[in-house]
Amino acid sequence: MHRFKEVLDNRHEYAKNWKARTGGKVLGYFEPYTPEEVIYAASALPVRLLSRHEPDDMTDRNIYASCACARDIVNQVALGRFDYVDGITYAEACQWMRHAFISSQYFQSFSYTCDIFVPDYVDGHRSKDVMYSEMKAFKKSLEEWTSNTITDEALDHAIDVYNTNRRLMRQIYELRRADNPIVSGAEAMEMVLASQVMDKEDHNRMLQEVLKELPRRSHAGYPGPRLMLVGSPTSDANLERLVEELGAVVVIDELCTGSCYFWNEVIPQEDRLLALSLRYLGKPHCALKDNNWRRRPAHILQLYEDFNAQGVIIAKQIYCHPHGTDNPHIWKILRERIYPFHFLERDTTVPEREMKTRLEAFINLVEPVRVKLRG
Amino acid sequence: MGIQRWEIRPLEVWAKAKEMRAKWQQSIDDAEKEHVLLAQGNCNWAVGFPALRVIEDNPVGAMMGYRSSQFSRECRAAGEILGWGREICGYQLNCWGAMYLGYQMDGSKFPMRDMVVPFPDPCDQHTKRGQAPMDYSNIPRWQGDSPLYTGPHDPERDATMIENKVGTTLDIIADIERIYGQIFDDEKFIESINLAHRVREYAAEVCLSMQHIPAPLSQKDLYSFYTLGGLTKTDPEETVELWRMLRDEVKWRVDNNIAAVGTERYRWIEAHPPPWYFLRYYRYMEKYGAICIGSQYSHMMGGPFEFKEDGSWGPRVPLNSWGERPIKTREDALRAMFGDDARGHNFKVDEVIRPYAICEFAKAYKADGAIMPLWRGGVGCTVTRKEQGLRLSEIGVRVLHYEGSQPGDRTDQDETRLLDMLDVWMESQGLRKLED
Amino acid sequence: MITAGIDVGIENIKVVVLRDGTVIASGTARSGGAGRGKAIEQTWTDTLKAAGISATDITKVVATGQGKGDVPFANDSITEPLADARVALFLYPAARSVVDVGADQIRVVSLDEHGAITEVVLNQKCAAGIGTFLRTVARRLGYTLDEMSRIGGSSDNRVVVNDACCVFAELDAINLLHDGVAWQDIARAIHRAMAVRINSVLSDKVRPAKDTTVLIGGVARNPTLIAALEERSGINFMIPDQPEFAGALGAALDAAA
Repeated sequence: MHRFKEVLDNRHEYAKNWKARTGGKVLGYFEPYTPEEVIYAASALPVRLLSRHEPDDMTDRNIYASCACARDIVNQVALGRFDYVDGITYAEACQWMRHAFISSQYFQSFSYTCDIFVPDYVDGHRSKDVMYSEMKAFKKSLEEWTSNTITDEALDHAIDVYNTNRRLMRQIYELRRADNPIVSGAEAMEMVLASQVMDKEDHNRMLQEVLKELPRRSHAGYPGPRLMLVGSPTSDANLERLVEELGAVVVIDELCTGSCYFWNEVIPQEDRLLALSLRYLGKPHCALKDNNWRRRPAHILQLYEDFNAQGVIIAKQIYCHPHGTDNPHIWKILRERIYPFHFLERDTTVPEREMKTRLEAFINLVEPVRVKLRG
Repeated sequence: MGIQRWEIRPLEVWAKAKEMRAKWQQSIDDAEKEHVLLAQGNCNWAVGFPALRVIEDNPVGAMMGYRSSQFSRECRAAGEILGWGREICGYQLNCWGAMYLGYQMDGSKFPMRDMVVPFPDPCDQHTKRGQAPMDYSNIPRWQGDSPLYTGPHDPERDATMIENKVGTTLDIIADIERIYGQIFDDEKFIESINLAHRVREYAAEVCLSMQHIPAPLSQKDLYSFYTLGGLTKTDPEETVELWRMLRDEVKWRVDNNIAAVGTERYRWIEAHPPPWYFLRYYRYMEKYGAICIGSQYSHMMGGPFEFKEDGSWGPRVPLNSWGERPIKTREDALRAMFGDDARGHNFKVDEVIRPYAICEFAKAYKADGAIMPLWRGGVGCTVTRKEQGLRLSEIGVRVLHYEGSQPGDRTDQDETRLLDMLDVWMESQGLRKLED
Repeated sequence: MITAGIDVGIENIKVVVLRDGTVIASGTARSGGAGRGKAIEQTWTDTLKAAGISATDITKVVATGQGKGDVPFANDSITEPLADARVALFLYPAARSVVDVGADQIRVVSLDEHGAITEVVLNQKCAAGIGTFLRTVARRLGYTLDEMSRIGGSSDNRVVVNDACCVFAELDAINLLHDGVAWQDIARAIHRAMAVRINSVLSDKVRPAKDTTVLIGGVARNPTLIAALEERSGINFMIPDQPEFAGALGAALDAAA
C-alpha cells in the first residue's frame, strides 16, 4: 500500500526513470478532461501536473489571484521540477488552469503544446461533434509530435488499460463502503493521485497486488463517523489524513483529482475517438461544467447514500471560482436533506491547529455521543 | 515651455444616448406588467421573438456598483450567506444578491427572469452565469459554448466551432418556440443582423478615431455608448441612428481638433472594465494631461480588429463590405453573427489566450502607458492580466497594476492608495500635475 | 545652502537636514496615528534644535512618504521612488536599482545608466505591511525587533510559516508555539517567509542586478532578514549606515537640486 505514496512523493523520479527505460516522451496535462488514452496510444506518458506546497516568489510576476493548485504548478515549472516534461496540453476546464498553461510556457520551453477545447456545456445536443473534432485534431498533432502513428489497435489497447484501471480503482473504493473500511480515505486518495502520474499498466499491477493482499488486512475496529469530501481539486491527502487522525474516516470523495477522475469507463465502439469523446463528456461533472443539466447534486447525494456517509466536508481552494459559484446550490441540497456539512477553504498551507479545531467541532457535531458534557 | 491646449467641447449626442438608456430600463421594468418574457442573457437574436426581452447581469451589477456601494454591499452579503465565494464576479453577486433580497436599488420589486440564455463567453464566470436564478426559481436555462483554442489557425477546427455555435443557437430558438408558443420572426432577425453590421461599421470608425491626437473622446464617453447596442438591446434602427450621429460628431471633432482633454500630453490604455464606483480616477489622471484612449474592452463594439499588411490597425472585415454576403435565412444570419466573431482580433478571446494582442493595440493607439487592474474576483477580468503587463513592458509601454475586488465590488479597493500610486507612477515618468 | 527632507511613513517620521551635501542633523519619532500632525511638528523642531539652526535658515523643505501631504511647512513634495532614486545615486553612483522595504510598502526602482527611472514596482496588497508585521510578531513572541532578528539568526531549524499572507503567517507562528517549537526557530521561519514575500516583488517585471542594488528602509536594519533575502534572491545588497533615513535624505537632496 505504501508504494502508492512513494510513487506520488517521488513522481518526478518515476517519470524520469520511465523516460530512461522507454525512451518515450512525457506529456504534462492540467485537467482531467485530457483524453489520456490518445496520448498513451502514441506511446507517450501522460502525467498530471500536480502542485506542491513550496515557498513561491516566482509566480506573482505572471499571475494574480488564482487558486493555489494552478499557481503552484507554475511555481513548480519555474523551479525546474518538471524539466523532464517534453510537452504540455490543456483540455479546457478551469480558467486558472488555462492561465497556468499559458504562464508555464514562459518559464520552460516545451517541444509541444496543445489546447483542446472541451465544451463547457458537456451535455448539449451538439457537444460531441465539437469534442470529436478536437479529438481528431489532438490525435493528428500528437502523431506529428511523437512521429508515431496512432493505430486502432494502439487505441484499443490504451482504452483497455485505462478501463482496467478504472475498474480496479472502483474495486478499491467499493471496499470503503464496509462498516469498518480496510482502506482509509488518505490511502485511497494517494492511490488515485499516483495513478495520474504513472504508467497505467504499472499502476494496474500495483492495484492487483494490493487487492490480493487487502482481504488479509486486519480491521482496526470502529473507525469513527463516516465523512464525505467534496470540493476543489487537491494534490495530496493531507486533509484526509488530518480528519482520520481526529477519529473519523473519509469514506468517499467527489473531487476531480479523486473519484471523478476514474468513475466512468469508455464504452467501446467502432469509432474509437467518438467512444472517447463520449466518455470524457460523460464523466462526473466538474463544478464548472455542471450548468444546464445539473448532474453534480444528484451525484453527490448518490455517493453520500451509497457510501453511507454521515456528514460532508466541503473544501474549496481560495480563488476556486467554479466551486465558489456552485456552493450555494450544494449547500442548499444538503440542507434540504439535513445532511450535516462543514465548509472550509484551503490555501497553499493549511493552518493545522486551527483546522483541527474546526474539524473536531464538526466531527463532534456529526457524532455527538463522542462528547460527554454531563455525567 | 508652454503646454499645448486644444479646444474642448461637450458631446452633443450624449443626450440622445441617455434617453435611450432610460427607455431600455423602462422596458425591463415594464416586462412583467406587459406580460412579456424576460430572459437573463445577451442573445442578439432575441429581437426575433415578439414578446421576449433580454437583460444581462453585467450592466445591472455595474450600475449598482456605480450608484450605491451600500446597496451592493447588502446584496453581496445576501449572496455570501447562501454560500457564494468572495472571489466571485461582483456583477453576479450584486445582481443575484438583489434577487435574494427581492428588491432593486430603488426599492422596487426585483424583476424575476423567465429563462436563462447566457451568451457564449470565454470567461468561466459567464459559463456559470444565470445558474443562480435557475437554482432559485426553477426556470429553464440554455447554454451556448464559446469554443476557442491557442496555436495556429486550423480551418477545420474553426468551421466545427462556428457550426457548434450556430447549431446550438438554432436548437435554442426552436426550443423557445416549442415551449413558449412564440413564433420567431426570421425577417426581423435578419434585418437586425444587417443593422448590427452597420452599428459595427460606425463603431469601428469611432474606435479608429481614437488614434487621432488629440483624442476626440475619452474612455468614459466610450463606455457611455458601448452598452447601447451591446449589452442593452433597444430598437435596432434607433441604435444605428445613434451610432451614425456619434460617428458624424466624432469625425467633426477630429477634423477640428476638438479634444476630450484639452491638455493631452500622455495617452494611456487600460484593460477590461474600470472600477465603476471610482471613475474619478480618469479625472485625476487628466490633472497630469493624461487621457485614457480606451481598452480592447471598450473598443469591442467595433468588432474584431487586426493589423493590416501595411502596418495599420483596422477592423478585420473591411468597412462597408458586409453587404456583399447575402443573408437570406435564420441560419445565414447566425453564421454571419458568429462567423465574424469566431477568430481574429476578438477582444475577449485575445484577452484570455493571447497576451500579445494588447501590444498591437497599444502601438496602434500610440499609448505611452497602461493602467491594468488586478481583480480578485471574476476570473475572466484577471486572467493573463499580469502577462499582458509584462508584454507591454517589453515594448516600452509603462504599466501600472492596482488591485481591487471586481469592477462592481468596492470591498478591496483602496482608493487613497490608488491615487497615491497614480502620483508615484506619473512622477516616476517625469510628469507632474498641471493643476490641483 | 541648507535644505531639509522629511519622510512621513506609516510607522515613523524621519527628518534629515543637509548643508552643502553633508548631513548636519537627523531626527525620528513614531508617526503617532491620529496625532501625526503634532508628531511631525515635534520631530521637526527637535531636529532643528539639534542642528542648532532655525527654520528660516533652511532654503527649501521637501516632504516624501505616504504622509507627505500632512507637512504644512514643506515647500514641495515628491513621491517616494524619486526620493529613493536620489539617495541611491548620491550614496552609490553606480546603483542601478533601489529596493525600499519599510513598515508598509516595498518598492523596487530601476534606473538607467543616466540615473533616470525606468520602472517602479510596488508590492501587491498581500505583501503590504511587512515592517509592521515583524514588529507585531516580535511583540507576540515577547521580543524587540532587534532581539527577534538576533535569535532568529541563531537557528538552523527548517520549520516554515505561510509566506503568502501575514495573517496566515501569524496563525502558523501561533500554532508552532502551541506545538512547542523553539522560539528562535519560529523567529527564523518568520524572517524566511518575509524574505520570500519581498523576493516575490523583486522578481516582478525588472529583476534588480546582483551587485548594483541598494537596499533602504527600516527593514534593512534587520540582519537576519537581509541574510535570508540575499540567500533567496542571490543579490548582494549595498546598504547605507542608516537605511531608515534614506527617504528623508533623498527628499533633502531633491530640495538642494
